[in-house]
Amino acid sequence: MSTERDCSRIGRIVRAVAGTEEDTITCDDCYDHIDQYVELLEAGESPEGVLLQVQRHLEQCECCEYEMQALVRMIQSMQESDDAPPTSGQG
Amino acid sequence: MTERTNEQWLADLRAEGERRSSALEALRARLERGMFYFLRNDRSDLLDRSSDDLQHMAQDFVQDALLKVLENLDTFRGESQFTTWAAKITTRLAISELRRIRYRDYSLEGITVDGEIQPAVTPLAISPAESLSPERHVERDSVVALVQNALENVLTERQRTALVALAIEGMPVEEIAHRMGTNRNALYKLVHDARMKLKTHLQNEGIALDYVLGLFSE
Ligand SMILES: [Zn+2]
Repeated sequence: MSTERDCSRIGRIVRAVAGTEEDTITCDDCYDHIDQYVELLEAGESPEGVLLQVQRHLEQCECCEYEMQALVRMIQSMQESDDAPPTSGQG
Repeated sequence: MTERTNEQWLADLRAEGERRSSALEALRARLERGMFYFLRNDRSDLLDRSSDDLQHMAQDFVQDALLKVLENLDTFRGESQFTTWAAKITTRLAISELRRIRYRDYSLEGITVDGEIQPAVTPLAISPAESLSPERHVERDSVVALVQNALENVLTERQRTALVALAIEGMPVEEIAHRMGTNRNALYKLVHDARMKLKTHLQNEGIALDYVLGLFSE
């Protein structure tokens, strides 16, 4: 019989494997478009084309996903505390 | 002061004298604000640092990032706001620096499928044994054996090391890549191929992954 520890470790692998789909881009490609992707998300729009590929990559790549979250937090705080008057892009 | 357009940012940062330095300072102030906010709110490993400490860290990261931004102005394609692009450069730099610090003393040597790893890994919330019926318990044991066998026999040694370091130990792709003498793109692909290979193998063995997931999750 397998131990709880085996199960825990193998469970992680199973979860990683089950969530695996075709991924057509690399981490560098993802980074290339991540600023555009994040602005799209912030605008509440849906990704298309290469940004859809970015989304698929993010679902599978924890490192890129984490960087994306960090970027979101960063630009949100940059906007919030801006002294500049509202620009036409806001609202 | 009104917000600069992307064109104005580029022109100002390429200008000389006062025009350039005021654009640079405006960008620096914003990036430092954003970076400080990120370090203070999103980094559980920095909870014990004072605000002053975090401010200094933010300043250092932004200083390095600004050099990169200035070096790479020509590569900005205008697909986002300039400040978002600059923030992207800053986050990547900061995160990889924070990773380096965190994993400084961490070695891949001795990582095996059932090896013991020193830093505490958050245990996966798995079903307690008693909550599974006897049949499901047997099923789970047979899946564990099957996956262990597949890890040993279906994957190459490099694939196995990388997958275990990533999926089990939770190490960042970049750190594993660094230790395995490769880059992040190649490492990600290595692991992705390994995951696809295992997925196909398990499916060929008649394993329904959606069902099996239930044996391991809460
Ligand atoms: Zn990635």
